[in-house]
Amino acid sequence: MLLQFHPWASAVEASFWQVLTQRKMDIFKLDDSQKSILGYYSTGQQVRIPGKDTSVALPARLCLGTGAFPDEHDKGHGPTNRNPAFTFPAPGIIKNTNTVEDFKALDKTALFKMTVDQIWADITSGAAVLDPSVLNRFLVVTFADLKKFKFFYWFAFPALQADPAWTMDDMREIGAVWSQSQINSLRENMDQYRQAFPSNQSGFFLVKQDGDSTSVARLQDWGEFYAGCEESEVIIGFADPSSLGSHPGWPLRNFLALIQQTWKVTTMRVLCFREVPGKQDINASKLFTAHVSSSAPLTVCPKAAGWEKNALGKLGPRLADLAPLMDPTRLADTAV
Amino acid sequence: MNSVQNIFFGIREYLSPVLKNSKFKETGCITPEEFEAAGDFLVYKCPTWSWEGGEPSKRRDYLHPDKQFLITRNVPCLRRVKQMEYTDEDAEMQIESDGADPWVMSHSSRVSGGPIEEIAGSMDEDEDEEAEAEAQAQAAIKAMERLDLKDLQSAADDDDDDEEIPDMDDIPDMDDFDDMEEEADPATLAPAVPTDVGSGQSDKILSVRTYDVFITYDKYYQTPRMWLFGYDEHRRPLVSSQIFEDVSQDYAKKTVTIETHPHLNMSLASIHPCRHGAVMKKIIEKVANDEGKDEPVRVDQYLIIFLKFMSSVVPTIDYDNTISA
Repeated sequence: MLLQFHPWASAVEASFWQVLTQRKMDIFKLDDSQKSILGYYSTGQQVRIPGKDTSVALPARLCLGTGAFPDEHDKGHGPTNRNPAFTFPAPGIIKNTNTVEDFKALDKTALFKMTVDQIWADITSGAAVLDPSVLNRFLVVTFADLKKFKFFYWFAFPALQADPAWTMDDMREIGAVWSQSQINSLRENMDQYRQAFPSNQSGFFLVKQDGDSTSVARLQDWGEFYAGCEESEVIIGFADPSSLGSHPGWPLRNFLALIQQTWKVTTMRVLCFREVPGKQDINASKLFTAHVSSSAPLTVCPKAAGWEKNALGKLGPRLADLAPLMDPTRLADTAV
Repeated sequence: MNSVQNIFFGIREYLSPVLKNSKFKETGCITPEEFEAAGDFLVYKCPTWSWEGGEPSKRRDYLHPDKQFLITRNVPCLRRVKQMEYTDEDAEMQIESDGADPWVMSHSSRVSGGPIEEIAGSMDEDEDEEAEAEAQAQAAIKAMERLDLKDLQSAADDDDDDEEIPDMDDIPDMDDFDDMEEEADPATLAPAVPTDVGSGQSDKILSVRTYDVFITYDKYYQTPRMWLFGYDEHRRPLVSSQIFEDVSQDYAKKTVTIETHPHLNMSLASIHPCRHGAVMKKIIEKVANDEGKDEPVRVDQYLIIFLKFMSSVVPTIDYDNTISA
């Protein structure tokens, strides 16, 4: 069965536009060069339908919030670039144009290619082994109409396309494969892992099973961690934003490309780590086996996909209209 | 007009003294220190809530710089309040109020509905605030009990009232992106058609409204105050009329207003705190009575109780799903 990935849905917090507006007016001014930003995501969530015994899957959201920009004049007012608890980081690039004409005329293909090249360079150089969060690298092009409080934006989440493509067997509940004590052991080890290492390690990791216990390690510890192990004992884990019972989320795509390129593994088990934040519950996690027919390392950057579709389901920008919330003249209308 | 009002609120807040001594059991009000303690407890109990510092220029010095307000993000809101139907179990309930005729609360077993409206409407606005607070507290308690049962009567089956497809006018001058073509990518899972809520298929994605929910400390009313920022199914910000669809009809437009967030340069829907103190006092008394006098309600539990109370105002915004207390 062809391994298909559940794509991202962008989710910009309204307060991000506020921060962007301030940056634009106070710092960037007419400088429209690309800036680094930091997004975040949680693992996939399902919600129970009230009064029913079923739940539904929610979109895999990649979010931008108030902590998206690094603080350029931090005066010691606490940490900045801070993401909420139980989230995983995704570094990105924002290209904010000065005019709507610039926005339309942007060479989006070139920007996309640039981001893809960066991801590919990080994979081939091994930088992504040391900092796997760069596998989530994304691009957002924006135009902020500061007079009308309208924000046009378009995200791209580049994913390298594997050729030949990856295949998978049936995805199974973790509880159907592992015992509860194994699951508990994984949960405890994941908690420790996330405390022990910086957040850029948290989204991608290695898992090993030994009887009732499991262990978790960083990608850079692969050699030591899997020393003496068969290929069939390799379990790669990632924080999975997908909540679907049958498909993993987008971050796995570039992760598999990294694994294939670096360690030449063709068959491995994949742990889709999904937690209920704060509830010490990881039973929504899934396991499956991924397989690819060729392990020959690539010498050129593969093709990539990943522009987000808009509300109409077409490739095109989205619009956040904050006039009702930010425009002083409009605010008067809603005042009571 | 709004700015005049904001200036007035600003001055009023500036002039109000910071509440120093704890009197949450007597009045339902809390001090900034108690707000922080209750906030810490909430974050500890429900880690999806977190503290934020907000705008440095709007920082209140009676609150910790990094603990100016609380926020939880991306809270799903599956359906509109109007979809919560009346049921046969709707019961009538009498509320005794001192020295006055008992109020009859029809449909009191419903999570949301008219009782408070009826009560409020049948009373002189400024008279007998005590009774109104009592009624509101009763309704809230009742609603909380219902919520605890997770028995929100569901009209979910017809929840697929897809928002009308936005037309291109939404994005003026943006319709010339035809040059953007992406080759078909077989490994990209095709977006599923949004499903009925009732179908129970976990293999389809349901696009739902989401809310960012904020709790600030209101110095004038000396209570927490809840703020809401909503996004539609396509992640576009909701306008106030849409947000009112997610507010219990008892409160919409009456106690829910659009005001400037104290720590952000933005206007948000907020549940006006003018009666929070009185209602919280009643609820705390009720909870204390239920749980026996041995273990009085602690002030750090205040926000957990407050959130239960708020869920009677915004019954379909499910921030409660992580609260185990």
